[in-house]
Amino acid sequence: MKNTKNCNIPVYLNNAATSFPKSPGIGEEVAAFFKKIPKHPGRAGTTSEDTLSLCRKELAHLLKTEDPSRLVLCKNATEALNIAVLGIGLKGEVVITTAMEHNSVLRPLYLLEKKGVIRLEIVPCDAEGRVIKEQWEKRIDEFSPKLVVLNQASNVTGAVNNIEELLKYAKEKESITLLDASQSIGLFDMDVSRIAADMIAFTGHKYLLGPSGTGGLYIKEGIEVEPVFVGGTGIRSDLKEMPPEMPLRLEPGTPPVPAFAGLLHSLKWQKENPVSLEKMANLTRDLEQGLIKKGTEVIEVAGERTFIVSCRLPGWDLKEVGYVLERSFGIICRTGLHCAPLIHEYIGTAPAGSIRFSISRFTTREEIDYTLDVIGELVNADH
Amino acid sequence: MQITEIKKIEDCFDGSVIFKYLFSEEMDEDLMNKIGEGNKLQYFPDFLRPFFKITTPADLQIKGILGDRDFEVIFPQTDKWKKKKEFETNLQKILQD
Repeated sequence: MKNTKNCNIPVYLNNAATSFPKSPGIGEEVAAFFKKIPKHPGRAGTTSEDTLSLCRKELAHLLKTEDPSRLVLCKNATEALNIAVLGIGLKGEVVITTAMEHNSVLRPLYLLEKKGVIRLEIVPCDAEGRVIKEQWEKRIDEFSPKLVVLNQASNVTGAVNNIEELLKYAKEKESITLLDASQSIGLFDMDVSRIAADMIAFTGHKYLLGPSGTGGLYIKEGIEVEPVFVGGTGIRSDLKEMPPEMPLRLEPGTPPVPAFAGLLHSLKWQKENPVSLEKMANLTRDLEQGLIKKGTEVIEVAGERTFIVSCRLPGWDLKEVGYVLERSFGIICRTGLHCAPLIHEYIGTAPAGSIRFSISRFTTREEIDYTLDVIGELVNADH
Repeated sequence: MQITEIKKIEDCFDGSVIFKYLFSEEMDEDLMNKIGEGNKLQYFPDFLRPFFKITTPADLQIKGILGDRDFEVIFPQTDKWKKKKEFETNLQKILQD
């Protein structure tokens, strides 16, 4: 690390991709896992106090559900979304999703559309990247979809949807509701008894501060999801099909237990050390306003948001900005489409995309100030 | 100075072909200027780590940091493999000088 203007570099502002640093002590916790004899090797036991069971309990606590067996542990949100979308049974049905979605939602749906399984309808979003409520309701009224898939927060602009209202409307029209909480879990309070989500897909390596290789799918009691992957479960081995017991029905094969040991550690750490959203919001606002003052084209977001700021830098090719920020100045952010290709048509950043800065609970004032200084230098650089 | 490795880089843009060239030694101003001869050279010596970008008449874009042991080259879609071969032939000549 090098100290520049009271700031240690590299400066990591790519937390919407994956968080860094992780929870203090996570490395030691994962390393310790390899020194212990496995309690229940390779199988997702739900009765003994093994790593997976404990992790499931912590996740259930986080989502405020009393039944941990409804939480399917997955290796990431993409796997969770695939299990949900491909396992719900959609032959001949309409599915509605939105223009703000990540490819982890869009590509499984495009696949089903291409195979002629579903009709896919995409609801537009506004200039901040938030779903337009009237359009959402209109499409649901028009198409009576079997499934709706909705992002809680945009991974491009940070705009947060009113999921209580949007999902409630879909539920009242008897749709199955799938929420992508990849960008929001660990930041916002999530209570499955209050939001009308039948399924919630999430990742462990972003704002839950866990390792990559962790994620999950909450499935409400009464929602039937057929297995997409099949194989060994460690129980009912005499059956030709996956056993009916949840969550094992949807968890074949040996899971990444060491990674979940890390996630378990992070969940406990976050419970003992609640995040200060106010501090993160202040830094995000200051970053946004500072970028505007420096002359960048910021996608301004009003109302509820996560801790992301997207912008473009006049005079600089987007392909170069990320390179220069990282290699010249030690600022790690992300440039491009951010795997959410449709939103850019609505927020004015098509076709190339945006520069995205995303902060974490560990981001400091000095890091934001340094970033703004550097952006100022780039804006004023003589081409 | 030698090329030690040429890596294809994946990205999420428009399908441009991007390769990273790794070298046995750190790049200096002399090498940058030689590659920049006859091309458009943009140089930012005041950046914390000096950045350069070279655009050739054939629309190749070369970007790197002085002091590093690698740079990236974006080859346009049209005739990309032919242009890559020509670029590498010229680069070898410069490195051998």
